[in-house]
Formats: sequence, C-alpha cells, structure tokens
Amino acid sequence: MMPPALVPQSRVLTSPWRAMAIAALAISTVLPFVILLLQSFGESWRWPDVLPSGLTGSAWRAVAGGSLGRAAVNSAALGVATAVAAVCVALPVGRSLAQLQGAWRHVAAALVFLPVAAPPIALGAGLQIVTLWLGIASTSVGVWFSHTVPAIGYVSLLFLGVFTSRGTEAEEAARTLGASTWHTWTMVVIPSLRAPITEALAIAFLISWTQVALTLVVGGGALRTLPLEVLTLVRAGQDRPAAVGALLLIVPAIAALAALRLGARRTDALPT
Amino acid sequence: MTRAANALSVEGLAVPFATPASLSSTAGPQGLHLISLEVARGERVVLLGPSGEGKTSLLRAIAGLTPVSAGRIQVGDLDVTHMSAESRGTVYLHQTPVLFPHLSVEANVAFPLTIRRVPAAERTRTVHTLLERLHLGELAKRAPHTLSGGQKHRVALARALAAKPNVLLLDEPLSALDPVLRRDVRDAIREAHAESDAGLLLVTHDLDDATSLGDRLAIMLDRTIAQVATAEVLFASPVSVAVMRFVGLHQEFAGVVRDAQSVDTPLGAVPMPRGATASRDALSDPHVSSLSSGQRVVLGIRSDAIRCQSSAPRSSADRRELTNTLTLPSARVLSISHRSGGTTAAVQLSDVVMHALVDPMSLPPIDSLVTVHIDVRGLIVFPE
Repeated sequence: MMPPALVPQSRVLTSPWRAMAIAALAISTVLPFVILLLQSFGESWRWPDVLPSGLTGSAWRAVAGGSLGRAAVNSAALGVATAVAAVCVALPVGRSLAQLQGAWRHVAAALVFLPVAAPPIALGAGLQIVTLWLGIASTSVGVWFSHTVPAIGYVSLLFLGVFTSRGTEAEEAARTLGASTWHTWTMVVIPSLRAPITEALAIAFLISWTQVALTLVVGGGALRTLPLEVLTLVRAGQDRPAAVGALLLIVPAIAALAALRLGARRTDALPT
Repeated sequence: MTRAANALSVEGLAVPFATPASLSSTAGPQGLHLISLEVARGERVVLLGPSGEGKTSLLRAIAGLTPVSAGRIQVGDLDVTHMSAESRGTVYLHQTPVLFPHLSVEANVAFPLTIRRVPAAERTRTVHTLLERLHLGELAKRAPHTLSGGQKHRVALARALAAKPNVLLLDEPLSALDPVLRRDVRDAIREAHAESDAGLLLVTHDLDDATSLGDRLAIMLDRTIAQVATAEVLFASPVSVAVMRFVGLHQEFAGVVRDAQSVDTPLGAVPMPRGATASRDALSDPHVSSLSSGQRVVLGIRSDAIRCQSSAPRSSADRRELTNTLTLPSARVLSISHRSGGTTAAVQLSDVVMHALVDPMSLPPIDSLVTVHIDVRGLIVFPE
C-alpha cells in the first residue's frame, strides 16, 4: 500500500479556505463603505434596486457651509483640544505610574483605567454632576472636559507601557550631565518619545471624534459635533447627507491609523 | 583660593536600599553604612565587591540619583550631599551606554555644552577635540543606533568629558562585554581619562580589569568599604580574612600559634609572617602582636609564592633565591592545570591539598613526588 502523500502544513493553511476567509473579511470591512459612498452620491436608492437610480454630488456640495460642515469643524477642534490636553496630562502621569512599585502601581493603573472601563453613559452621568459643580455643564468647555477624562485614561496607560519599557536611564543620564528638569523634558524625554506621542495624539483625537454619549449627556446639545449630526440625520431618515456625514467620520480614523502605523515603524528609536 | 586636592570625599555615608521609610534615621543593616572614601583629582579608584554589596547604590548616591540617610559627600570644595544631580559636577555612566536616540553622535557629545549655552564656536571645538581623542571623528554625523557596542561606550565617555565633571562615575562599564570589546572599552576609559583631572570611580567585578584601570582599589564587603589600597598593598596585605578571601590570591590553612616565631599548620611549622616586607609590617604587626600561644589562626599563602619542582636546586643562584623560602617535604602530584595566570599543579602533602606554580617546560608526571617551596614573604596570618 502506498503511503499517504505528505502535504506541507503551509500549503494547508494557504488553501482555498484561507482565501475565502480573507475575502469574507475584506467584504465585511469594505462593503459598508462602498454602500455609504454609493448612498452619498445616489439620487434615489430604493429596494430592491442593486444600485442608485442616478448620481448627484449635491449632498457633498452641501457640506461646506451646512450643518455637517460646521459639526465637522467643531469635532475637529474638540478633538485637537482633547488630544493636546490628554497628552499633556498623561505624559507625566504615565511616567509617575511607571516609577511606582508593587501594589501601588497596580492600584494607580486601575484608577487610571476606570474611566476607560466604565460604560460611557455611566461616566457621562458622573461627569455631568462634576461639570454642574464646575459651572461648565452644557457648554463647549464642559464637553471638552468630558472627552478629555477618558482620553487621559487611555493615553496614560499607553505612556505607562512606554516608560516601563524605557526606564529612566535617559533622564538620569541627562540630569547628571547637568540638564535641569525643563531641559531633560524638552531636550531628551519629549524628542525621544516622538513616535509614542504621535500615537497618543491620534488615539486621544479619535476618542473625542467618535464620542456620542458624553457629548449628549454633558453637552445637552450645546455643541453640535459630527457624530451627533449624523445621528440626527439617520433618525430623520435623511440617508444621503447621513451617508456623507458617516464618510466624513471615517476620514480621521483612516488618517489616525496611518499615523499609528508610522509611529509603530519608528518605535525602534529607543535609547541606545 | 586653592582647589581641593580631592575630587571626591565621602564621609560616613549611609544609603538605604529598600523603601523610603528606611530613610528615617540611619540606613541600618539593609543599606550601605559608614562609607568613607576619597578620590584625588586625576585619580582612578576601582570599586570591587561581590554582587549585592551596593556598589551601584553608592555610585548613584554620589551622583544624586539615590537618597542618602547619613553622612557627607563633597565634590571638590563643595558639599553636595543634599544638592540635585544636575548641580553636583558628577557624571554617572550606566552599565549600558545611554545615548539620546534622536541626536547624532556629535549632538550627543555637545549636549552638556548646549544646555550650558556654550557659544557655538567653542562648542564645536570642544566636541571635535573629544571626538578625535576617542577616535570618533568619522562617526560624528551617525545616529546612535548605527554604532557598535564599543563605539557607544566611547560616545558616552566623550559626552561625559564634555560636561567637564569633577567626578566621573562608571557603573560596570566592562561587564557583559566580549574580551575584544572589553579591551577596547578599557583602552577608551584610559584614553578618555588621561587628559582629564576628574576623579574617576569605577565599579567592576573583575580583578584584572580593576588592577589594569585603578590607581587604587576599594573593596566593598558587608555593605561598607573594607579596604582601600593600591593593588600591590592589597594583594600583599589584605586587612581581614574576608578581604583576603574576596581577593582570592591566597590559599588558606588553619593553624595554631606555637610561639612568637612560628605557627603550627597541617603543612608543618611555618614562620610567623612578620617583618617580611616594609609595607606589610604596618598592617600585619597589629595582628601578630595581638596573637598568643595556642591561639587558632588562619594562615594565608599567596598562590604565586608556592612553587614546586621535581628536583632540588643545583646552582648557587638557586640557593640564594631560597633565602626566604620554606621547603616542604615531598608532595604527590594529583593533577596539572593550565590557566592564563600560569600552570599549576595540585599537590598533596599528607592530607592537605594545595596548588603550586610549576614550570610548564618541565611538567612533573602525575603521581610523581615533588618538592614544594613557599616564599615566606607571601605569608599572612589572621586570628580565627
């Protein structure tokens, strides 16, 4: 009897099953965007038509100067402000956490993670009370504050990992060479953390950019952001502008993804 | 105003090891205690000791990177005990060189000058001089991650010298290096320090590195400085059994004091090691004078003072050499070992085994009988 032919393991893994799995993933990822794109340009698109009856750019033209455009500008400004504030706070927080030892480090890390782990609606309820106390409820500043809290949590954890892996040797070297705390941070720590800081800015921006619950609960409609505008359009059945808004929401996500990839490629810039 | 002769003076220093709570009063048994040490300008002192004795902690405390609980640190004329790391005039180099990854080699070397706002022309001149001195001229524009291990050490040394420190603190710069790189870094340290009047305090585990680099060696045992001396004095006259054991140059035998002239040992009666060398007298006399008949002692014999040979000396020159020699009865050769320090034979005398240098050109056969000669200038005795 002939022995069964040996099939290399790699051939099994690159079988048609693998191709099908990749195709399924691609379709599920790309298809919604293709549909949104068609929807945003389609004149009318009714069941059971496979494609829209005609194409128009009217919804896109309406963005500039319209509510979607204003909301996109609001979201972008809010995202930038959130990202800058979160990174400014999270950098020293992450470094301090990395210097803690034993149980204190776990406790502090858990506290930082709390706003990240808590459901946004629960966090929003808590932050609403805080913003009321501070007198910034239902204001743009209140919304920015509410976005910054979870962003700080995420980004602090990121910097905790960064500082834990790097240690404080570079700072110590700079200090014994005569650098003050200011020089150490501006000439050594921050420049050598360019990649992680880019990543942190991107993540914090996205946290703010995609935020709905906190904007609604704390802002109470005072600040119209892009996600809120898209939500309103979807609920009103205005499919074409809603599709345009949804696509606008995706653009920064793709840009942030590119920034993260770029940052990942630069992470070999560790102290040598 | 005259400059202080010492680059560094440490007096009664205590450094806690564990938690900030132990900073309260004194370091106690968990930390360094009663550390006193001086490093002269331009001098190289090597800190030697077993792992866990706190050599790195001492360096970090001097650099201002670890808090101290008692004592005083003076750099030049200045008491820096409670000053911040950046104000002390000490530069601390980590075991693995820490270069700033976003700066080129020359920008790394220029860093201490940049933060001091040294004018550009002077900065360029100093950096160029240091790079040339450490053979880094061609690497000036390179990024740190493109350098070899030895080159990184050289850049870190050049950068440290650019800061013009009073004291240079090097934490095990030679550990975890292969022999070739080790030699390269050792040369770099010598070259870097040659034209500097900074005091240099360096930690190493290796006795060869220590003797090669240090003007004086400081032995750390039981979390304090046990002895500071030149290699010659340290090897000839360790101040305690612990130092003698750490240095590891002596072979140890139990003994009992017979009288002021001799000690009974398993090797037979050996002369009381007194007045053999001028340098040792001062240190060993207190031990010897405090000994009494019948007292148990530890006898140390420097390994390079023990030789064996197959036949008795023949020439008159040999006899002259034997003036200070104790000749032991015939011993049996158990084995021969070839090491970089010389070829030795393990020999047995009754129930004692000792190691003796042997002429590699005329090795005695295993199991043959040899004569063992001990240079009595290599003897030292301590109360048990």
